[in-house]
Amino acid sequence: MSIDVRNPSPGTSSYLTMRGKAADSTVQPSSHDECAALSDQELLELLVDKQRVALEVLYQRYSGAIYSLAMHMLRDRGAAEEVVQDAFLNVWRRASSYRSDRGKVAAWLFSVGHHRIIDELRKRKRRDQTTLVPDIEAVHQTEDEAADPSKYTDQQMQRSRIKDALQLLRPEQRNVVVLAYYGGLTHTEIAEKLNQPLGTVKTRMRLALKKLRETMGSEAREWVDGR
Amino acid sequence: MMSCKRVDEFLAPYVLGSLEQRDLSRFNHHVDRCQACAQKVSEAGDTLVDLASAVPQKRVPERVKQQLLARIDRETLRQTEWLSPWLDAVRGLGNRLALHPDIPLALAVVAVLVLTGLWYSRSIQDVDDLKASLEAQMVSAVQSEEELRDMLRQQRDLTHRMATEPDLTIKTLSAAMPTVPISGDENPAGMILVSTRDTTATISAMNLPQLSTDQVYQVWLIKKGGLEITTGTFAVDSAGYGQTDINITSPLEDFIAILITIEKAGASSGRTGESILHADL
Repeated sequence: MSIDVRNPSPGTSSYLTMRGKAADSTVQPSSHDECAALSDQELLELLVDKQRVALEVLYQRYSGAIYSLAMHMLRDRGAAEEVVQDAFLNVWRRASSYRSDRGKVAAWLFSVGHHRIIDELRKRKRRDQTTLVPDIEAVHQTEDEAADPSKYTDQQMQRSRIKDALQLLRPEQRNVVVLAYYGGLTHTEIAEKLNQPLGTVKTRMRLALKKLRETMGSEAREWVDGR
Repeated sequence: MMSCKRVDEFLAPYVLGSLEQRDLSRFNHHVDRCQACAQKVSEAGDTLVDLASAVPQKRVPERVKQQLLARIDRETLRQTEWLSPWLDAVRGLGNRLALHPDIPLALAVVAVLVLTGLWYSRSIQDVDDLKASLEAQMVSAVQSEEELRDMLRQQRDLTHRMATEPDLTIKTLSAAMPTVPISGDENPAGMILVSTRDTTATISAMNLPQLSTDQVYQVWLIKKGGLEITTGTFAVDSAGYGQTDINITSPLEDFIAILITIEKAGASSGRTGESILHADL
């Protein structure tokens, strides 16, 4: 089937038009290959219409990164697999709750996954009264080479930049980022753990994020923005 | 509702997923209604992507995808199963009506049932509305309490500084033009505390009017000769109180006055608003 992908306006779901037919005659892409050419935003609009193939393509794009984050934070393969399933099931159920003015689809997907991981960490904490200590040095230690070597190289470079950016932070700023993002602690818990005032923790977080954004710059996110 | 200043304070914890649940709902409530803050959240989202992709990459086992798709299929099937008895019942009712000789009576029964259902649905809606209203009042009360706590903390810090820093210069900021008072009959007022040890100063202002989301209060230092230098912006809470720290790049003696004006959000490069508060230095 020949399709023409247009730039959709926010909130519209009919943007795929068969060539040679009237403009209001819309079709949904039926194959995985057709969907693979669409942007994240377009896929999400298909997802609102419960097009399962759109979920499969988003899964192909982001499940690895969310699984890796879950493995890093939970250190439990079974729990990480469950987190990935739950996160994408949530995306399937709540696609209509995504708001483009609040950020890119990738950021929303990672946010859904990250919150699910944090839920799991907090459940464990309540159950075991123990906390996994996040390990900044473990960031970027080992890699599973992806099937696509060029994509793998791009991602390697991307991660290297992020690691460098994290290393550029002051130790106390890096600590709060690692404890918050990779350790799943709330800012109140971090203040208690580090024995620092809450305001100090929030200031360190703010300065750390500012520095990360300045260091990373926009060119470092091409592998996500290019979708 | 949470103020824009408060959203700024919570933006980093939000991005890092470390915001407490009670703050998260108020944060979302504000951002859903404030375009400027939504833009800040959107920009900060890139950092979230960076951090998520910084960890060692693992390949997700193929069975996870199969299990996910199976869960989706089961869920879709359950939804269909939930609907089917109702569809069958409607179909059965239709068949019986068609066969029954007393169809008008049956239709009247159905009409009564429908009207009863509508009345019941409306009652439930009223209860929902009341619940939503009480929840909104609760959120507002919690916010006021937090703002009050913030204000007291800031006032305590200022008092502490005044008591312990002997080299502190304090100037009173007074209303520079007639304004509409926002609490009782009180006009805007404030003070500036300048430390002679370093280049910082703290401005504390009260009874300032609430601004729209595309406006901010902006601080200006006036040099000898009339040159106006901007040193920052700030917002006020729902009681009209605001506080900000500024850097002074030259000795205090180089300046003759300080002004606070209302400018467009994001700060103006040159002063456009009339002075709301001022002090001679």
